[in-house]
Amino acid sequence: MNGRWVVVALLLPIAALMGLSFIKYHQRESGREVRLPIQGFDPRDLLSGHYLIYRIDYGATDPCGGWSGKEEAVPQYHFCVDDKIFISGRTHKNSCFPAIAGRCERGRFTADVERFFIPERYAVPLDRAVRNRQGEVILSVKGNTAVVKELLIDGRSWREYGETP
Amino acid sequence: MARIDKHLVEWVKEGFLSEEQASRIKAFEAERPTGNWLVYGFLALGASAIGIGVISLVAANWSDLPEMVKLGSAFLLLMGLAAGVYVNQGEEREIAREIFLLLFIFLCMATIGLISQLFHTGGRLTSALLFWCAITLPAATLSGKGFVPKLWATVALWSFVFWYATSVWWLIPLPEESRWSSVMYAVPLFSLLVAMLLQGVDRGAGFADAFSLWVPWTALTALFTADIKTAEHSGVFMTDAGSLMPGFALGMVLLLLLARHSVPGQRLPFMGGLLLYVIGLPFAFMAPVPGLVGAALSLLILFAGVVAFALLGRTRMANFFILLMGMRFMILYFQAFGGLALTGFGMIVSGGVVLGLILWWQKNRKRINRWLLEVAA
Repeated sequence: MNGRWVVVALLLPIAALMGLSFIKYHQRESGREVRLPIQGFDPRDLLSGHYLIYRIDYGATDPCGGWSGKEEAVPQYHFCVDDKIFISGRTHKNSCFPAIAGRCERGRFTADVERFFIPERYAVPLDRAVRNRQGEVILSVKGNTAVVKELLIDGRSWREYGETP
Repeated sequence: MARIDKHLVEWVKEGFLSEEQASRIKAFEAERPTGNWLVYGFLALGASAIGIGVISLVAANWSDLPEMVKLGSAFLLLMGLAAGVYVNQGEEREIAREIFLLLFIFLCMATIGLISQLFHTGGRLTSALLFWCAITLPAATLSGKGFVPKLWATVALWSFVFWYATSVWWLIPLPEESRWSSVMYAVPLFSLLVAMLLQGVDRGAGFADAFSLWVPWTALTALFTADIKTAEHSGVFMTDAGSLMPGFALGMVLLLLLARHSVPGQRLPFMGGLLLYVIGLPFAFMAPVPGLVGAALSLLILFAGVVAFALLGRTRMANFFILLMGMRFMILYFQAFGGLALTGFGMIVSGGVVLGLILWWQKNRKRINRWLLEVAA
């Protein structure tokens, strides 16, 4: 086995993972912060494993409400952060920045920012707080991409809230 | 007595080898490093358990550690495992290298999970798995034993299949049932195509074996699903023509490859079996076909499987397909006659036909093989 190939084969995944970590970190730290209220959508269980799963209240009518999801092509939308409106992905050609790009999934606008990892011991208090509509999420938005930066409960960091007796 | 010892005794008896030659062969085989597959199997199990345990630890949330410490630890460990693979080059250290390699690719998966956790990334599991496949492919080629390529190929195949089944359809809107019919139909053809393409690639044999392993099982799944649907809904269209196009296209490519690259004596049976599957299954899914016609198609496709495995020398799979044919015959008679007595009579008759065919085949198989070779040439 060629020694050079062995080195490349072993370094490639490490380099790729480091690159991915850096990209995610950069996306989170360099974007514009957008604070949006959240609420749970499944009254039975907000927690999927150790994820808190929520629905973001964008302050505009969800454009995906009427989509059946069965036979049509999946609609794409962008949420314009400043104008607080949804526009169709097809018509959006640099017409608003920053924007949060997403698609319709199960009758809701989804932008892959609808979940947050939490440690198990914080599950119960956070679950209750989100159900009581005390939750907000801070997104970092750059261009069309949004990543989750922080979860707030009653204006405080989730960790601070969870550790308060 | 080991299998080779039995063969050597037979060959000496038949005069193919002398006693001295047989002894030299036995001595040579005894000295060959066997690789001790049983030990390797347990070591692979242990390494897999460790890998899964690491992934579970990630999932349990290390809430008290800062994120840079978590990431730093993961990358340090990755580099350590990579070093373990690198220093254990050479045949004599094969087992150690395989363990390090297995742990390495598992830790790559765990690190993807860790990044997802730290940065709260959304997205589909299939995307994460496909990313893992892309970055670990070169590392998987370093394996000499076959377990790592098999693991990689299995994850790659099913990640691609689920991605295809759930993500591509925004291009071609189709009802959900049609999508899954399309996927089921195409998966065995896709596996077979990838296996054939990888056969000629350096260090591709392990991956090719893994992909070809899935071909019969996915084909059987598609066949049984089509059979059940045909039996349930005789006279009703099942799905759209467009949804079967990807599989049909794969089938045509495979037929071309078989026409050009297969062994002459095997070409016709393989192409015939493939044609039966490629055309017969959509026919069963789509046309208003009575249940009995669907049953006949199933039996023909299963028979093609028997012939294919027999030609490949895989007698156990050939026997398994024969068993499936027998079971399908029984179901056919229940479908046709609906009662035990008539079914019993029908089974006796068809059993007699099968025995007669086999006896005739035994008597004439050399002549038939010669004819097949002449036709192929």
